[in-house]
Amino acid sequence: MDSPTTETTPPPPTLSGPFVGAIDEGTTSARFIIFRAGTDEIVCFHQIEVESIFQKEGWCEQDPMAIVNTVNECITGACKKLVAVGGKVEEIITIGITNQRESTVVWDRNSGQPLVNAIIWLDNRTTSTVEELLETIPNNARNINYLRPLCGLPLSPYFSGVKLRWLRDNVPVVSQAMEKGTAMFGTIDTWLMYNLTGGKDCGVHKTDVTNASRTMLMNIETLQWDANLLKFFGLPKTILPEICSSSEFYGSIAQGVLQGIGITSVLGDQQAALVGQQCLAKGQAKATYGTGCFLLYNTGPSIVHSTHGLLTTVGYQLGRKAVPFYALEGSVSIAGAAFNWLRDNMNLIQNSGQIETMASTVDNSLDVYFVPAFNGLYAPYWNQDARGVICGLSEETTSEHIVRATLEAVCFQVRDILDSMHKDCKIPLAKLMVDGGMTVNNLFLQLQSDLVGIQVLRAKIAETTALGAAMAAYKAVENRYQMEAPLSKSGPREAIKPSISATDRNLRYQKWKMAIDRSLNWETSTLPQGEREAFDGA
Amino acid sequence: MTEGKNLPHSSADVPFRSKELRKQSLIQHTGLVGVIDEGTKTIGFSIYTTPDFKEIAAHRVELSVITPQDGWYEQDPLEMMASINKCAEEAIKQLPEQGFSASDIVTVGITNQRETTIVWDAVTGKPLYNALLWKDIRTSTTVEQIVAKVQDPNHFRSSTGLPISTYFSALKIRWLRDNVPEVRQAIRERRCKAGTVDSWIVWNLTNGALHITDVTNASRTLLMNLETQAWDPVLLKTFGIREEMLPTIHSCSEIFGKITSERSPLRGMTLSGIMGNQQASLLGQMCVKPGQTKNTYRSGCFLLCNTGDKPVFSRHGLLTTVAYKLGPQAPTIYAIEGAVSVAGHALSWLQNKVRILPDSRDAEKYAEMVPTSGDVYFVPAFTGLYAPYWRQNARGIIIGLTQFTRKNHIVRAALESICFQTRDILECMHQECGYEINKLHADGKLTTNNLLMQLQADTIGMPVFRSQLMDSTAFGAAMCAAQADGVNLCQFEPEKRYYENVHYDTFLATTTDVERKERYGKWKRAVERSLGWVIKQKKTREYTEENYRMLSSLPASIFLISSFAMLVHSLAASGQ
Repeated sequence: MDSPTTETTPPPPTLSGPFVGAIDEGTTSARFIIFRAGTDEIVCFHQIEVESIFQKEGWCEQDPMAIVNTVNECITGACKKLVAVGGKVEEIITIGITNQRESTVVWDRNSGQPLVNAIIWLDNRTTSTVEELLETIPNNARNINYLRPLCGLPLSPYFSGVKLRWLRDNVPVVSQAMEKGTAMFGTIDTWLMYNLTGGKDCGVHKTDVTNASRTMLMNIETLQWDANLLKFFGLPKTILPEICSSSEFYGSIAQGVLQGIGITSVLGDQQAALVGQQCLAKGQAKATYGTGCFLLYNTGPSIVHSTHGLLTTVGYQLGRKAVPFYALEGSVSIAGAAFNWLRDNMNLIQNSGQIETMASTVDNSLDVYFVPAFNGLYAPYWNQDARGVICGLSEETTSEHIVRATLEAVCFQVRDILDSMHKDCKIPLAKLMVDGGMTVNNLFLQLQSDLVGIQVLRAKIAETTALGAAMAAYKAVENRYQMEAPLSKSGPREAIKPSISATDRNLRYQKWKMAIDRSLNWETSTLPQGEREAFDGA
Repeated sequence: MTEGKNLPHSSADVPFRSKELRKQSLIQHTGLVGVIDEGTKTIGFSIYTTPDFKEIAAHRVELSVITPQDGWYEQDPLEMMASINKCAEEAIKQLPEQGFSASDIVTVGITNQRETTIVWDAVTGKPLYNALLWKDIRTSTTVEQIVAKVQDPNHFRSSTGLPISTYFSALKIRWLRDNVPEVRQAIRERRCKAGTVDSWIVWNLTNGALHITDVTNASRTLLMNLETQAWDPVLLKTFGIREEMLPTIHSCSEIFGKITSERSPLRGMTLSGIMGNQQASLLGQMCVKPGQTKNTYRSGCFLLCNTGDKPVFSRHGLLTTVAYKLGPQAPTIYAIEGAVSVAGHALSWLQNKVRILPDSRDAEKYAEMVPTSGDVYFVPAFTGLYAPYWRQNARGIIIGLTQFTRKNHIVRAALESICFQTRDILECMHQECGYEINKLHADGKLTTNNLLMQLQADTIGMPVFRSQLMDSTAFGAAMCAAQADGVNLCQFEPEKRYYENVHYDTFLATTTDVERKERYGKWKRAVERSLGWVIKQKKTREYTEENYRMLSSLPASIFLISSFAMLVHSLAASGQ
């Protein structure tokens, strides 16, 4: 090699930006995904699973520091991959954040350290707190919809305000910090923002309207923390972040490979999926099938208060001065989680790839209906004492029928919610946009279309949540960006049409409603007062 | 012993050795008793010593079931006889090593699957058709005809203790007459004989000299009056059956005659005991006092509660039946009977269909991996619910599932469902029989599951006495035959309880009253949620007033008919 040579090394590959990054911090995993700006093209990403802690039945926690560290690892990992394919980190012009909603973190202002583990959205330890709060409603009304006119939500263990109240009542270090004014509260977006922008030194304490609308502490009309709500929950204003829009400059990343880059969008994961699915007009709806299933129906600039068990929430506000768009939301607590249960608890399936195969070996579920109400039922029933039930078992029932019934259970729960949305909004839905892991299952999408009776359109990419955050982030830095324009150059979404008659559909739905009735109030089921059993004497 | 080996083996030494061995016994034997045990799935012949009733020889073979159509179940009557002869021969071969011989068998008893019906030609001795098994439901159309005539499926309950159901022999004889030309012809020519399995066996063993049955089997035909214990003229007329076709009704325990068939290794022996198998089990478990109750745990369960010398008629669909009559002059003892349609069958279903239980015989091991069922309840109403609910439109349900529920919880809930269903029936029996029920006797293959027995005691709050005999049926029949007047091998004195093989394992309740009440209450809630699942498709034709009046008069009877038909069908997987 000492000899001179005329050979030259080929130049390294190059990939030109600009790029937009999105942090997607979900219940079971965190990701950092890099998109080509203004498109749905994923350049690269890095994903790491997040561990949940189950100390007691119904409890679900995560370590807040693990969440931050995992997100940082994902950022570092994705940026390395970007360089590996010839891109430059400097061409990431901005990033957005999308997150699991309602999950509640409380930390110390002075040390920047969490005071407790994050209480995850699906945790229902706060059922007792809801009971206590119901008792405080005037005239012994015990009306779970008492606060709905203010915040759009019913009293439920779900929402951050209830979780904060539980922490105040049950964790002395939290109640003391609240009294001293040293406690800071945030949902996951806020906690990530705070740490990314410098933590205790110069960290930003902000949230967006979509996350704030999930706390029961924000006024749905004014989009500000509401004094009456704070009083109801007995919480000090000092703990609360500043509420911003979904698409504006929040702060700059303080350290790491993205140091100096701005964070310009924050959206709760489901609202981000609504944006990512381009459901940007009134009357459009999407369903995301993950651990649970979440449907959002865009109601436009109008606030629609549900009388059928749905939540009224902010869909998005795409700029500080932009008109906020609202949505109705219905949630299914157990969707993909039901298959994890079949796999891990029942050993009926070995992996999720088997679901479609097994369910396809039988023509129908043989009149078996499964209501996977493992932690109660959410929209539109809101029954915390419901429990899982499998009905209609006969000698001929096999594990394949149960797997198929599980697929149908998710579809029926979606129909429950769409029916409620229709009643509240009076506008029939023409099509349903779908995304999430379960949508790779073709049989599932056909069943969904059959059971709701409308077209189902599958998203072209899996990461609509992160895409929504990226779109909103880009919007904040590029005024000319049109979010409604087609994202993809490869044509429209795949449409799945119903294949059964309305009569069949309605008969099966009637049966589903019977199964729902049987799941309700199991947890509190007791003998009627005074009933005496012969063997038990007096 | 060394000296013995050097002795020449002449035939003269054999009796000597037998006598010597018998002298070594602590108890003076008075003779042997043989039992023909003709069940649905197996036929066996067992030999017992008296008076200690130790089983010293036995042979069993499986019997094939013929299913020409869905819901039809038949067996070959000739195969039954060949199997009996084979089993007897093989069991007798085992006697020499015990120091006995066939000549020591003083008498023989019979116990059999009940309701199963056979028709045969009195002249040729050949069956005119296969045996129609107790669980066969082809006779549902016959049931409809009879109910249409009398207007009430419980019309004959006060005289027979039974509803009109596919189960009972009268319906089967009528079906055969209506549908099998050879049978109709033989009836017309007065050469047709009909009977339950015991009758068919006795006929063959006596070369046609005896056409008899006992009161327990006769009480399952829907033709015998419980009070008179004779064939009832009204019933005979209703079903169009001539008495001459039918066997003579005897007690369970008397000398019926001698076995004369040249084909049988039992030739020359006395016949002195006949009992239906569930009644034999009741006797075998010494349930001879009013209020004493036994449960036989198999794919389904059969509970019988002794109600003493008066029949008790149930308002909850339990059957009234003869328990036993231990001699022509002995009092007739009655029982009420309830069935659990899905017991061990639920475990088979979890193994074979749902595949969360690798082997149903290991149910105890899997269920014990969890300390409770985790508030999961399983109501295995696969074809509806029977006593005491009688709801055809119920279906199986598993309720109380959470993310923490594992398959072990469901296996445990399946075991508990057997216990709760048993309690459901015991509650009825307790209310209706008029006596205190304070313990439960248990036998049957499933009772080897210790956890099941403990859960049963915990569920009912009373001791469970598990027979150390796997199956008390043959033992009951042996006692019945041995104590017959004229045989006098022993006196039937259950109070003394010195029989070597009448031992129990005792399971005591570990639950408190409050716990039991809570859990049983939850079970009842789960049962409620299993009801009303099956919906009939709406009729497109509008009801006219006439149609409505007609239809409104039918539901009750149609309900009970089809309920019983479905009960019988669901027991198809059971061994009776």
